[in-house]
Amino acid sequence: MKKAIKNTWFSFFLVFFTTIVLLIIQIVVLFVTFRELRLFFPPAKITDAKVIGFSHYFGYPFYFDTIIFFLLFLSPIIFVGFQKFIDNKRKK
Amino acid sequence: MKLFKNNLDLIIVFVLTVLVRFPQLFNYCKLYIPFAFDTQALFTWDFAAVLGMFPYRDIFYPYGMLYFYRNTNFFFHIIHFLLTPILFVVVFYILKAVWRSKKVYYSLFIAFYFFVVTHTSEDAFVGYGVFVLFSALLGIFFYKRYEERKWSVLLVGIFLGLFFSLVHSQGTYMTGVFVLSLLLFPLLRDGFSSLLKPGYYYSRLVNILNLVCGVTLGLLPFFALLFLNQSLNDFFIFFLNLSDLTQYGKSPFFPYSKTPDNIFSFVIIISTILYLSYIYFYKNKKYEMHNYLEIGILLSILLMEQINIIRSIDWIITFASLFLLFILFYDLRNGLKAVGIKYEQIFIFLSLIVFSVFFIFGLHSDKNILKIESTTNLAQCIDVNVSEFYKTHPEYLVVKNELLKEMKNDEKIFSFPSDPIFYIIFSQRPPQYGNVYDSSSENAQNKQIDYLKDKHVKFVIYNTRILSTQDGVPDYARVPYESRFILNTFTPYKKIGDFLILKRMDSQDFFKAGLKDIQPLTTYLTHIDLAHIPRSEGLYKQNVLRSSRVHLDFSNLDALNSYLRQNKISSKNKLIIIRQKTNKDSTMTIKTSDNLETQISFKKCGRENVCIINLDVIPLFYKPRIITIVDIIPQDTEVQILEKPLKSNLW
Repeated sequence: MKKAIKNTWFSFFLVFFTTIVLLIIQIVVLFVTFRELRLFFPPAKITDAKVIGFSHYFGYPFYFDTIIFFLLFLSPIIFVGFQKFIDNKRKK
Repeated sequence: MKLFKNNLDLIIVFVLTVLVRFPQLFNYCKLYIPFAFDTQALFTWDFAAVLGMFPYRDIFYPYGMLYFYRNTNFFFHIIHFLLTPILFVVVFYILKAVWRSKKVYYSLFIAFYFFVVTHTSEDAFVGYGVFVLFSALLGIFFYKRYEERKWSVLLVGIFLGLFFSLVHSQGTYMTGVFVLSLLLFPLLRDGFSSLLKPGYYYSRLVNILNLVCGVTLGLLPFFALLFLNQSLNDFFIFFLNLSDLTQYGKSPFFPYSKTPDNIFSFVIIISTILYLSYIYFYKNKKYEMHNYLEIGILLSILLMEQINIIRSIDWIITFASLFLLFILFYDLRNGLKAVGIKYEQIFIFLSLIVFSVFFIFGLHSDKNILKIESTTNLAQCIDVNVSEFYKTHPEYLVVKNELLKEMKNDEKIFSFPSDPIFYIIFSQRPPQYGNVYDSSSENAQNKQIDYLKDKHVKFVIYNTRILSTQDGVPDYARVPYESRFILNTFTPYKKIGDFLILKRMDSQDFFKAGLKDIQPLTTYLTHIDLAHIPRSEGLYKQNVLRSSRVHLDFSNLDALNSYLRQNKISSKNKLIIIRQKTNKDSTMTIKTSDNLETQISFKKCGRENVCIINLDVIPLFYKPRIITIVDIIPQDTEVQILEKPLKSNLW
């Protein structure tokens, strides 16, 4: 029983640290390529309301931060799922 | 009796939190020192409530009836007062449901309470606490399958409708998170294979219909109130235009996200997602009740982060992250206990984490920016605030005294761009919007113009110290239509300190007014920077140009200037289209037949695109003028002059 619990903890920490390492790599890549990514996205459109805010005036892409946010914060689900997929393949 | 005994601790928490806040029930006056942009706006809204103005119909107010009337209406005052104790009771209830050990949930509750008081502030806690705790309770709601009970979703809908009436923002978020939970939780509970079963869609449809009925029922009293105050139509227009707030509020997120508060929340979010994903993939999706709570709180934090992305509220989200951490502690405790670590050691470890959150991470702490005074009513509170304001801003009193000598009883002032406190000083009903930031949209500017058209508005008080109200966006770019109306209708009259007084006169040319003191302002308004606006217009609205009636193409500047020498081209309704051969930031200088000149800077257009400049929104061309010379640096440029198409959506 104790061995089973220790195996569970070992499995959790392996998944945890692998995910954290992948996340850190992702963050570093985003940090290094941030400016190029920002320029890749088109500038904010002035809508029919004709509002001029920071994003319109300074050309900051309106949805850029939202896309990067979800890319970063939902990636742990993908990383953990992928590790499980690899584990299942290994067991077969 | 048994119910009372079982919930005695909840009642004690409620009574204690009421007692702590009791002084605020009667004598409570916030001082809005230092009367900066945000606090002036809040102060003006309090003043509007005292005057009996009604939200949406008379004044723009985005926060809901509860906040507008909390200091002037006893019913709303009581609800607002009781919200904090109720929220703390819910926090206590959830901690008790998860932990069960009195020592632990009492300690965690006390830590949470002190965190809210010292770091978040009660106002901010109430501002988002209902949403966070509602999302947490949804975890229990769906864990126990309450959505399958008759009337449960309908009752939730009624609650959401009622709460939306009080606080629109939280009501909207709560409805959104409920719909999201309705779709997500059954899948987590019963498996994603449910998506292949028609029963899933049928039960979701029934739930959504019940929700819509419930929300509609809950909204009826609010709609009745709006109808009785002839404000129903105004409310719908306000609600449909809410997205304008995100348009003018959006500021960059990631470049400024490295704050201790953001990092704390990000670590909690990622840890929770990681842990819940691990359970899903490695533990056969066996979520327990506290995991459902974690998912509920996580959803609320993710939604709050979307608000944070628009405009920073990082220091507000930390209370929700801390609450989530206290639930995660339960899993951590179980895990450490399972590997044989003693209870006391676990308690010390968790206490060290809590200590670090309070004292080491460097999270924002609430320094009680808004002081409290004791007054008998809001009108007296307003007088106290005005007295405090004059102590640090005596120049405003000078302006008031000077103008009152020349104003009759029914004459009014208009403050531009962002000093709504003038309306309070002059004891005058404010316009729909107190500052140019809130009146950023074309519709809002038109409402301000309607206010200005009233012949009783005699003076415009132009604060020449404020050239950009928020975010570095110049006010001539933010509110061009409002600026144009003001400079075309009111003439520079005199300067009192930093305030330029414009008087309603037979219109004279602002740029030819004889007043020497306004030279710095006219220089500023003739050297303008449109930054990325021309590029954005060219990128998205080139198609609009095809319907233009007048179309003059010039392959170079010499051809353009030669044409201008021979023909009188008015600036009225004219667009200048720039196609750059070298992709560089540019400056265009335009001279007019009356010997005036303006410089317009703008960012590079992009190799495949054009830049569109609408001359009607350039300050020098608020009044039409004849263009005589155009110069652009770099000179290697193709230029078109077009007439602005009718009913175009060009800025």
